[in-house]
Amino acid sequence: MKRVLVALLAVGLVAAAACSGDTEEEGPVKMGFLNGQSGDYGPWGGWALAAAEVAVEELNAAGGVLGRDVELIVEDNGSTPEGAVSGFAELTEVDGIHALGGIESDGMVAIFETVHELQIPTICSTCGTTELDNTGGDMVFRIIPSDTDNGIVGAQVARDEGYRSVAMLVELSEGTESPANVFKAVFTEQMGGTITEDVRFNAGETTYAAQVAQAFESNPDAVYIAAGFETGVPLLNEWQRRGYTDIPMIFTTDLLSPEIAQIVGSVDGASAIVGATAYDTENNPAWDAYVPRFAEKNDGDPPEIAFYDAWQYDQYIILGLAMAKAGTTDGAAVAAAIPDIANPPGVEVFSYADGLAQLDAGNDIDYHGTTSNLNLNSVGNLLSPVMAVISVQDGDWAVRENIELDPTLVKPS
Amino acid sequence: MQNVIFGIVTGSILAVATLGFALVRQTENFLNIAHAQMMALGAFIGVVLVDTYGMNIFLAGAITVVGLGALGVVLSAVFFQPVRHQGGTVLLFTSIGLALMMYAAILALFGTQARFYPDVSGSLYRFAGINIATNELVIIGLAFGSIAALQLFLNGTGLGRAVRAVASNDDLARVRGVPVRTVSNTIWFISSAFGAMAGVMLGVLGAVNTEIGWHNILIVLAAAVLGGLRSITGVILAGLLLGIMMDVSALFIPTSYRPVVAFGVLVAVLILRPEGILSIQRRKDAVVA
Amino acid sequence: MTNPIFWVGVLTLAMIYSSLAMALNVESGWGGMWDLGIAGLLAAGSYCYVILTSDADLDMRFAPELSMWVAWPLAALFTGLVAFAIGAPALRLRREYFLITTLAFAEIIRQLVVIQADLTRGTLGVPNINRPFDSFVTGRDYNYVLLGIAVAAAAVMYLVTRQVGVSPFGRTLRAARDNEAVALALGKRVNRMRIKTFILAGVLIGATAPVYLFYIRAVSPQLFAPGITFTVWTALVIGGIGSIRGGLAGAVVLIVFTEAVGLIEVDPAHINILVAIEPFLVGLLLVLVLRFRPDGLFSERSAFGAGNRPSRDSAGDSRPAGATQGSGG
Repeated sequence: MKRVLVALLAVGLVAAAACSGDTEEEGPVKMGFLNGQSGDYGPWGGWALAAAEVAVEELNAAGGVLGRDVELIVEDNGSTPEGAVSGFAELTEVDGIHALGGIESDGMVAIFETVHELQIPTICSTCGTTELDNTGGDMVFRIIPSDTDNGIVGAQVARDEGYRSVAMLVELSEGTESPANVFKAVFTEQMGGTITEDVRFNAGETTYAAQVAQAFESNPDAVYIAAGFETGVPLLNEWQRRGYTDIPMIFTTDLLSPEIAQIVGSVDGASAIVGATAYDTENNPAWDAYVPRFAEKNDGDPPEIAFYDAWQYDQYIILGLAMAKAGTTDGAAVAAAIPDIANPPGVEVFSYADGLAQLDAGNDIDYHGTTSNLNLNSVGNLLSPVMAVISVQDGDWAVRENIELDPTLVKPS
Repeated sequence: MQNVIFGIVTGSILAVATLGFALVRQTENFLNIAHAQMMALGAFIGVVLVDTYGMNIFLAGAITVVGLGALGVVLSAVFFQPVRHQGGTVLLFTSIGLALMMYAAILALFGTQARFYPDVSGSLYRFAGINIATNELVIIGLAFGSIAALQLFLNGTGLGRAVRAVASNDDLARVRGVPVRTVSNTIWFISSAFGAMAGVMLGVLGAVNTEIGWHNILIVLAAAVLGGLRSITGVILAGLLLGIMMDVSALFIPTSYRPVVAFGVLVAVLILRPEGILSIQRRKDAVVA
Repeated sequence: MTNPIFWVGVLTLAMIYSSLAMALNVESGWGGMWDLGIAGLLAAGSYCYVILTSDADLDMRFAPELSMWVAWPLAALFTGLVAFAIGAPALRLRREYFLITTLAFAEIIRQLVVIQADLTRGTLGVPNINRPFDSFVTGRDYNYVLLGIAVAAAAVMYLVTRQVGVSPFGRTLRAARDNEAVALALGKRVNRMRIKTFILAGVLIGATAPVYLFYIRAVSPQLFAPGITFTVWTALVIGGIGSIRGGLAGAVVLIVFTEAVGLIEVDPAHINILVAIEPFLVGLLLVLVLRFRPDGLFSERSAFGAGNRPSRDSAGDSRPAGATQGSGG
């Protein structure tokens, strides 16, 4: 015991000795990227990282941030909250990051308090958790729609399509259950719709045949599916094989993957629509500039309208511009500058270089990203997320129309 | 009735996976946690051969099964032989170490993106109100065919009888001059090959991702224990029953309770019939006297 | 550039895993009950603590908002109760049967947490865990407080488990593990002793649960996947099953090693390699320790002296679960 304690003490002392002074205002600007590169979020990790790299390359191509090189420091959290806590500690205490991006809902909730204590400006580009609906805005900003919005828009789409009864197929995870629960509440309480069957299931089952049968054979007008795309593929293989293809489907955004589009597209007359997500693809220079670079990162073979990746890009452009605006990498100052550069008033800009030029000229800017105008409200959420109705056309996902959330639909209590 | 069909498909794969696991448990006397990573490796190699190299699914499956069978022999020689005399505890934890290393190899070689077998489900047959797809028929057929082949091998060949001798009494088999090393290699080949085959089947029905091994080890462990650790027929029945039970239970209780049901039944069966579902003679080693 | 705070965090986590490994050692090392349900007991203690202390405005059906100093011991007691509920039926079983039953119970507990969402907030989880002394010490400095709490918890765990280990109770427990027939013949009430041990382990794990939550700062069901059970077991195996210091040393080695491996810098272009390094090296460490020090860093014999325990040759296979031949029931 004594020896162990002595050893512990020694490790602590060596570590303390190794600690040199903070090189706050020189050296590269360090952007942390904490994300599930392995584990359950692993399948998304590659695309997310590619998008982040596109952004950092853009920052460096424009001369870096505050005249300093930008370094992207990647840390895998293994898709667990424990990994997020220890990964965040490593990023802040060992690597000395100035800002953070990339993290998912459960990890964000775990490090939320620490982010504030350490004053690390953090943009959440993959967390829809309803937990952040009212708690951000000081240090944490979210640039994707909340799961609340995703649930409401799903119900809105169901109503507009004229569906009166819906069966639900919901994977048991935070990211899929949150929008599904909102959908269910809004659809039944505010629209008078009925849920014929609410089937919840775990990821990683051998097959989903029984669950698919249960939902589709309850005679619904449509089936609402909230699942990750890995479970979505076997699920839809079942759907196709069993011949349920005449029943239309409503998906959550996690199912926006090319594999899913292929399966749905291969069936004549099948209908699958996704309400929500916020790809702002019409007349948007930021989006137009981003797409070919992202494709190149993926060896010319990107997912068509992949989910989340563009937000991974937007977040680092925002952070770069906020640092330029603040004139420092100091956390509090950068966080305070984030709404300034994202919101009006100001000259609308669509890239880091343009934004930098306007800032140098002494103008206010309003950055418009690849995914939306990125205007933020006082709790760090998107003020008016651009929602889109996306459907499968010719075996690919395509935006059918952009819509706004019906203001008469409210968040269920 | 349809759910019974689903259950038989699930159960056939589970039986194949568990058989490989149980064989090692019976002959080498330890729980080989790395078995599930062999399944994951099988799913990945199969999907690469089919999807990337455009190979026929049956050819790809055969190459995967034989190749990983051979790999299993090599891994057992490198990892398990040197610590064999240390007993089951050390072997069990060595297999956890090996599982982590195989998982790392899968991450490094194949990356984390999910992969899918191109749709090989084939056409759908309907009769008497139920339906079944070609690939499901093939899976059931292959599963039972390979299990039957294994039984023939164990009962009808000299080597097979030697394997059974080792399974029932290692020391006695040694004394009687059974070629223990050859038998051990045979066992590892069969076990790994069955694991790989189950992996390819899982991949064909679902998605292939790096977590597939960890997701399946618990249920394999459960089926092996439920089947009784010494009975091959018991393991097959346990796999089928677990599969059918999970799919049929969906009709009576909310599907979210499905894993709870599976494990709840497992616990109940173990406590009521600790010797496993098939064994007639109560086995003394399972329960406190 | 390495800030001591990072290593303070690593040591905190190491102390938490040490505590869990030492508790596991009592039931599995000495009691011979191979428990794969650590995650379940940890979940029981964690959710008990969280439900008793969380703010009422989190919309949980039951939120008495107790003081953490009341909730902490209650969490330990509650986990002991859960252990009793699991142990009463499960302890009739031996070896793999016990192992799989505890594993099944752990999964059942985790699934119940997911399903009983109005009590636990389900997959959404609970943020802002109440932590002791956080009104006095804030920010980075709190990490030192947390390390102090974790070290104190580990020290208490060490003293308690050591006391159990050297007591007549501990000796009988080990004797019954090695030869149940003899223990029974000597008139020892082996089953009663085992259930007591199992409950004790539950209480100890439940008492550690809040410390784990102080470190994570939020709770959600995915914290209690079976992975955590395997990590605790790996720590104990590396340290030495059945020894007094094994759990402590093994967890420190494992966690410090894991986090140090995480410091290796890899170009993001080789992200596959980056994510593979850690499981590969941890797996290799486990394989190598078992190959060259199969008893772990500290062996049971060194802890209790030779003669207290049968020699290796006969001892190798005498562990009840996962091992080959049993003690004979």
